[in-house]
Amino acid sequence: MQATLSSLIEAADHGDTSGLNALFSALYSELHRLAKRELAARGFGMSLGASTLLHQAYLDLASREGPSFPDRARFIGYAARVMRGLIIDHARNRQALKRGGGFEITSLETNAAARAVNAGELVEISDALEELARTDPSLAEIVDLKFFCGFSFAEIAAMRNISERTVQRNWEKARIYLHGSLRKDLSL
Amino acid sequence: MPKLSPEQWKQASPFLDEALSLNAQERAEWLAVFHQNNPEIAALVELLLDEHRAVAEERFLEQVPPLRPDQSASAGETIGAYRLLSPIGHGGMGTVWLAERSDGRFERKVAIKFPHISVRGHAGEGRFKREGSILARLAHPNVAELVDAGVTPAGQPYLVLEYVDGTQIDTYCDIHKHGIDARIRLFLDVLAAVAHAHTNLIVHRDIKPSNVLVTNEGHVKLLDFGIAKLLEDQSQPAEATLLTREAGSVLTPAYAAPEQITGQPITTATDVYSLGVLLYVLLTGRHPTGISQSPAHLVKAIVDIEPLRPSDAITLDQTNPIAANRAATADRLRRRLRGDLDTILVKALKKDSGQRYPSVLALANDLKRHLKREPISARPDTMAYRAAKFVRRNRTAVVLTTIALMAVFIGAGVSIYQASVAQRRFQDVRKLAHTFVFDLHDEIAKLEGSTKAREIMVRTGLEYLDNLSRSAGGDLELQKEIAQAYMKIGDAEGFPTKPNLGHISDAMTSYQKAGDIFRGLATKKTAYLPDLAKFYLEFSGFPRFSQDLKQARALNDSGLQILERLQASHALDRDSERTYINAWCRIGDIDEDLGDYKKAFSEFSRCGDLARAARRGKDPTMLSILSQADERIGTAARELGLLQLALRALDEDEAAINELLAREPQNPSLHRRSALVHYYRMLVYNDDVTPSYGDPVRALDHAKRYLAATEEMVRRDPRNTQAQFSRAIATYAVSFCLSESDPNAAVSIARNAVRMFDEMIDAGRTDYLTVSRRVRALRRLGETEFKAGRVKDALATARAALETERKIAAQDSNAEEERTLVHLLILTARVNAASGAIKEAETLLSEARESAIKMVKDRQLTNVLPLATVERALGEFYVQQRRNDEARASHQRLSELWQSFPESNDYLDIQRAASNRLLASFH
Repeated sequence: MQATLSSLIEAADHGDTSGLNALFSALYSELHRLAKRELAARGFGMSLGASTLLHQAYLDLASREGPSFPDRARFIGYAARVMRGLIIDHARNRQALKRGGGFEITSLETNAAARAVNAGELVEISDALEELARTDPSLAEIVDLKFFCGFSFAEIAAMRNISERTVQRNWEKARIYLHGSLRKDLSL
Repeated sequence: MPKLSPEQWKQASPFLDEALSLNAQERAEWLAVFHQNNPEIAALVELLLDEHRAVAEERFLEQVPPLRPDQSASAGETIGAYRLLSPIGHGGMGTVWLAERSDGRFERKVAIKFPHISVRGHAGEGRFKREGSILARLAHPNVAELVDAGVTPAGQPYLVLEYVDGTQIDTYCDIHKHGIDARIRLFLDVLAAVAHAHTNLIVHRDIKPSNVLVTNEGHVKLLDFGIAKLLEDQSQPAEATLLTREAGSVLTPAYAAPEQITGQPITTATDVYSLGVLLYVLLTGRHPTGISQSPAHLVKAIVDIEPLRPSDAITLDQTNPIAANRAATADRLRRRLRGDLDTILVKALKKDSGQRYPSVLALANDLKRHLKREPISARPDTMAYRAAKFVRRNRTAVVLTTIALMAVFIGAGVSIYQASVAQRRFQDVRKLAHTFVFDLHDEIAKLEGSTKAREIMVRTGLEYLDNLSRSAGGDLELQKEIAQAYMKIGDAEGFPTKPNLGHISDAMTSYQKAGDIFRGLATKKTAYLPDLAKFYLEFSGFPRFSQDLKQARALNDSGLQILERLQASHALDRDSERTYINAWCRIGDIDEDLGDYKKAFSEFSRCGDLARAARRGKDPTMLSILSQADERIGTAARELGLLQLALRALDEDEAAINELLAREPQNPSLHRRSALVHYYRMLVYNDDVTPSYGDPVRALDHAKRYLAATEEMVRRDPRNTQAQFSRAIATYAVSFCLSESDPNAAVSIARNAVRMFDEMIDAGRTDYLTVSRRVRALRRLGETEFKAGRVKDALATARAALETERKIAAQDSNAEEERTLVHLLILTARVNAASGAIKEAETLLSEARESAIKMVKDRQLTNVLPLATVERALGEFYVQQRRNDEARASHQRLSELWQSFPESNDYLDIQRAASNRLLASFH
């Protein structure tokens, strides 16, 4: 039997980097698989929310692994980073070749006033986010959850057991940080 | 914004928090003050607040980037030697673009397909290209050529295909109002192409109308030959799991053959099936499984339901467009299809690939004969055959889950595909699951070191059964198997008296699930009453283990009552009869725990008598019950002071176990029972809690043998917590037997025993038995320390033990714990007396006496023992204190106590003699 996700998460928590890598690649392929399956099932043209995907991944994995699965918040935390990786990977591919491996990152036209983020910017945001994760990891995680996975403030607050206000304030701070580094990069 | 260093960010961060929690006006005031106090940080915070305004204005990052299928190839892009012109379409497999050569060497247009797979590494790329080039060699006028295959630098594979400007074959035929003959002729072109590919050992695997185009010139072209396999191979890396396999299969279910759905090998017969579906659609205008409601229904239909005969698929509706599209009336169309075409299609669409046309050519030949109105080769199904099929079909309840199971079994390398119909498959899966849960489990349970393996195996089997039950809810037998599987899982998880993993609450949950099912079954059908009774009996093991004796007895009673009623009406089968007999022992166990040894003794004897009477031939199960009855008779006899009888019963027990061991030398529970015989003999020879000969020398031999046996059990299966537990008990038993002859050795052995219990408790085994037996180990340690003259150690140990025992006795009030408490009070008193704490010693002794007197009320011999021990200890204490009158009074009371029993038995005789000697020493 191959290592279960829960055992990988445990290893990752204990600072085992190979465990962490294995965890990420396991989650990555799992989410990728789900995404593909979703797309195949729903037909083309339908956009897929990252949080739907994460919830589903969690349910799938939790039900498969039984009660030994660690808590949901930790799973979502890891998975959110994986999800960002997934999105960024595709963005990178697209940047390199204008051809992604199956997904395109687009913004929906639901909110005309909101500034759409293009693929190039996404990659930059991700790089800046890596930087932020080194300075202030909890801020970075909120970006993963909010921006890349589409969780609401309330959901994140519940997940991390902090107040919604704190989540909101941290979100603002993270955006300030990212916006700042992005502008700097753009001006170069 | 100048880039902030991490230090700057950290400095500014708390102030930014503060600023963000203020409204605009508050913020301005706050900033003004801040600037004065700490201009450097204030400047940073102000910069960040500027950034915040920009963030808010731009609504930066407010939009979640959704994942969307890639339709982003853009016109003008070049892929290899081709330039993309315009998208043609997309489907489950990927997107398709029209393209042309960018080097202008050919005018020819091509279609480039970007499948939704990614190819990783050079090896994957190479394989993709290689397999592509094999397909590229497939040249036939009716096959769209595969021009090239490659992988973009980003790892996106692509296929360059001959571009066919045509119409799907079914649409084409409808547009041209082709009659049946014309449709068959066109279809024969399709067959020619497929036959050619088959001679090149290439199976199409995905024949469907959208892959069969007809050009404006009426020329048939098959698309995507072998591509399904090519893609599947790519998306199945070596580490493919069941799940990736599920997800990776690129399949069009409506045209898939049963073997594609069940995961059996794909052969040319697979294409024959899909061609049959295509022809069916061309001729009747509908799918052979009818109008499918859902993918699940479709899959079920493909695997399970025989298609309607094509002629029956034509509804007699005057305005039937299907008939009109075939230049016929419904009636004429139906008559046209009846007979040969029915037969041909039924044969092509057989579920069992072996019953289909052996080749595409054979199908083509029959169609050609039919066109010439010659007799065809295929024979129609007989009436009997169809009737059989009908019965089978209606018994069958197989849906997707079964199919998923098939895949699991393939994954496990288990081939169960001999069956040709779903009902058979259903039964196969069930049989296999049954084998997993019952036969294999029972065999493996006998092997040492197998506890974890058992749990996994049963859980796997249960998953299958559970899935099956969802497809066959009304199948009571299946429900029963599931319930039994839950019990087996519970056993491995943590049934207290079986080799287990120590997860007791999980085990109880599993048992409760089983109980729900059994109760439901018994209310539906009385035939399931014995099963319910058995469940109650088994389940009672849990409350019994957690010392909820009343609950345990009630459960046992429920079970026993059901069985007695059934036995009275001679409604017990062999198996239930065994359970019934066994139940007497179980209820005796509980009465024993409750301290009613006489009742227990008679119940055990009843069990033994019934077992002996029922022992026809050499039934090992009955022999096993008999051995257990003898073991218990031995124990109860000992408790009642019938020491001779106890030894005889233990001899019989040992003989029965040896007979059983001769059959199953590997069975760990037999080894355990064989070891236990020594433990019980040891108790008969030497124990201070229950009646015994008081002969530590003879007892030591048996204690050592018990210890050796338990050590061996631990060695064979280190995870077996029960073996660990037994070893710890054996250890303090040895210590006890040595305490007179070699007190120092006894001390270190007893310490060892305590350490073993501590380790078990550290590992999470905090159940009653472990905690309670740890205190007994402590008691033995205290006693040996005392005997070895280590009074200080003994005092500490005795106090610790007493304190814990008070808690246990308060929680789990039963005769055994009350006795232990009395013994510990006595020990602590003696050690206190020896260390000069006379007053405390006397207090403890009088507490011990009060408790002991309370226990005597039912005059059970074992329950009198504590009082006797207290009186002896009091006598000793008073002698030490030179309070001779009180000492004599104690000895007098002791002597009277033994005389108060009307009966005479081994133990009483010994004690009476001893107390008389004691009393005599005072005269």
